[in-house]
Amino acid sequence: MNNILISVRNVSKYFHINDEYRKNFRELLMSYLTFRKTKSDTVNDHTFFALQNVTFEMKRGESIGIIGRNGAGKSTLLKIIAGITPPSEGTISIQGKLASILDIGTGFHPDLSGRDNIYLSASLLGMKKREIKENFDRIVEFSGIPDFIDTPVKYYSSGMYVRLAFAVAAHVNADILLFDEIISVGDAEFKMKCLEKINELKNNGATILLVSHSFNDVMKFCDHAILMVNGKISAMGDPQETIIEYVETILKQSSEGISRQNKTETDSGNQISKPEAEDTHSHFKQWDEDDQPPGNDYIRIMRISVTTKGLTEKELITTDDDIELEIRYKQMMDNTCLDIAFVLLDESMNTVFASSPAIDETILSTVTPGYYAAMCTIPKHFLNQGFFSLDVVAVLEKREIVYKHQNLYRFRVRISEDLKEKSLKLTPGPIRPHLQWMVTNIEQIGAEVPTKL
Amino acid sequence: MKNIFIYRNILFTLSVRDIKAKYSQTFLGILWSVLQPLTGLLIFTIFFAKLIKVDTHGIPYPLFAFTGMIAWYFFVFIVNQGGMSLVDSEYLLKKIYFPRLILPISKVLVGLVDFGISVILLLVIMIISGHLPKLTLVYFPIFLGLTILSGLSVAIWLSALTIRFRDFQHIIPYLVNFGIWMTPVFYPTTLIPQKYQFVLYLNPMAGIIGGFRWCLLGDVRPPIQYLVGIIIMVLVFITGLIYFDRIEREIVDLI
Repeated sequence: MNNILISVRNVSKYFHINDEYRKNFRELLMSYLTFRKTKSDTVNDHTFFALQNVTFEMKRGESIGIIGRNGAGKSTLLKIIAGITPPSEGTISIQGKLASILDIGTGFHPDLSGRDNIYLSASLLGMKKREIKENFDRIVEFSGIPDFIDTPVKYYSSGMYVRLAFAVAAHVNADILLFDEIISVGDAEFKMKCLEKINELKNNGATILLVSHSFNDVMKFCDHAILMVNGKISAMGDPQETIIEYVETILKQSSEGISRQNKTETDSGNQISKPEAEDTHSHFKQWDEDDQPPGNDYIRIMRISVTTKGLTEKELITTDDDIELEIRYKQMMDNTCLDIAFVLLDESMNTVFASSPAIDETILSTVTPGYYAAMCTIPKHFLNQGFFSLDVVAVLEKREIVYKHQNLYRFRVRISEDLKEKSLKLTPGPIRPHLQWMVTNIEQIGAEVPTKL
Repeated sequence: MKNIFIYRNILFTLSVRDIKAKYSQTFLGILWSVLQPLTGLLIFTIFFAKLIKVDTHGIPYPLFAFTGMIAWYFFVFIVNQGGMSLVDSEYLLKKIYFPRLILPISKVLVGLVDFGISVILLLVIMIISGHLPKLTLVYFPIFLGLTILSGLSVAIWLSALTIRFRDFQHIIPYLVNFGIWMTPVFYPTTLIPQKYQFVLYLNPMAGIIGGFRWCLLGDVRPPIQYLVGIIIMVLVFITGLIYFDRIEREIVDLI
């Protein structure tokens, strides 16, 4: 049995910007009547490449996540694989039954009842009537809205609509499932249910290709990830590594943007003219007094640095380093009890943890105006490899947040050479703390384990 | 064509969707299919039979006109809905793959429901009025088939052209409005002077409506010259299929 279900070879897709419309009716008519390609049917200056030389394969039971910015060609790739739009060049071969779930509620008709729409949508997604009948109760149960199943969907709340739509999509029987950014809808509970269902499909041997902006989903479900940049596959491989690469390209492209947003508009031109050199990494960010440092009437953030001992601009922090974090700020008001704090987020913008000197009673809150430096260490072997960003917060009287700057600073932690060699490099999650483990042989399952060996 | 058979499920699904959607949430439901032609018939009977007094070869005018209307409106439905089917389903086209020709074809099935109801209504009126159908009724399916083919020929061309040039969207109503007077729907062909009758021969619907009247009502059989229109129609159909096939794969990029 052939185990390669999807084979995409040298696929390109290009469009002619404006060109199609510049052809006049007579020209078009002639080109159709004579079956001849006109000039603009071939590649020229007005050609926009949506996809360029894309090649990859998918084996049975494999799941691949496609990530990339908007307009990188992710959806176009799915559409070409689904047969919705033809490739301009290259070939695609598909083995087995394919269902493309590119939108929520494919073919839903607002005037029809939920019941009718289940039949409608499921059969458009390729299910036979008998299959739909067999799965009908399960679909309704999954949707969680049995009471409204005979109500026209136009009266549904958007949440109900999404639930029903996904319930149908989740029960589609196919060897290959294409999903385009549809899991990230619905409330938390329903989303969990959807993710479970996708896992179930995957465990049942479905081959899944999904486009997602959720790094978490890609890391959880996909064996591989493909990073698309400007219509080309820029990286392919382990999801975590591919995502890190993706975040890195984003950072590179927007690093000027980030520092610029803290400046006044007149300064921004100045910023662009001195971009950072390719391979150096600055480990701090600093604002001058007349630069309008981030802050308000209570506090101004003057400098923030995340580094480790002896780190040069050529190096990156690794998982083996004690990470020294320092925030220098200027307190503006007299007689106010201020504490600085930070929130650490991972690349999907999930909070990893927050910390503040306020938890230590031996450290007094700053009261008088002046410059202060707050330092702490994130111990080695705590953060996992990846990109992190910091929100900086100022707390008044240990109660009230008077200032919060989101995403003030970003840094990267790289896998240490040591771990790399031990091939322990792939651990999911934003942290990988070294915990005290003990494994011991016991006589029987109910046996007491000595607390200390 | 083989593809359409494989995807027939989608064809039926889309047709059923349209039929259900058409009558969902209407108070009178499918009764509208009966009311609409009947009210039209009433108006035309007043004008043509009572005021203008056209000669319909001894066939009661309401039956004469109703037969024409049934066939014509079925044809128009296919042209109208079929012609707009691709543009109207842009959303579907962009999300799933199926042979695009299914869209105009599905409109035939949708129109067939109204057509069927109207034919039953016609037969009921015929029986009530004592104008019993003759044995020529067995030819009915032929003319039904020709109506579908004519409608589809135009619809396939229009649907494909509308994708490229939205102008055609505006042409459809003109076509339909002119067409009804270029076709002997409310008047008999004998009303047209002999030397202009060749214009009618070019119009396939003229012969088809004549054919319906012949097989249902026992009207005079339409002359053999009407085959010209049928041949034209077949040519339009075949070229339409070729054109459609040529642009089918690119429809999504053009829409």
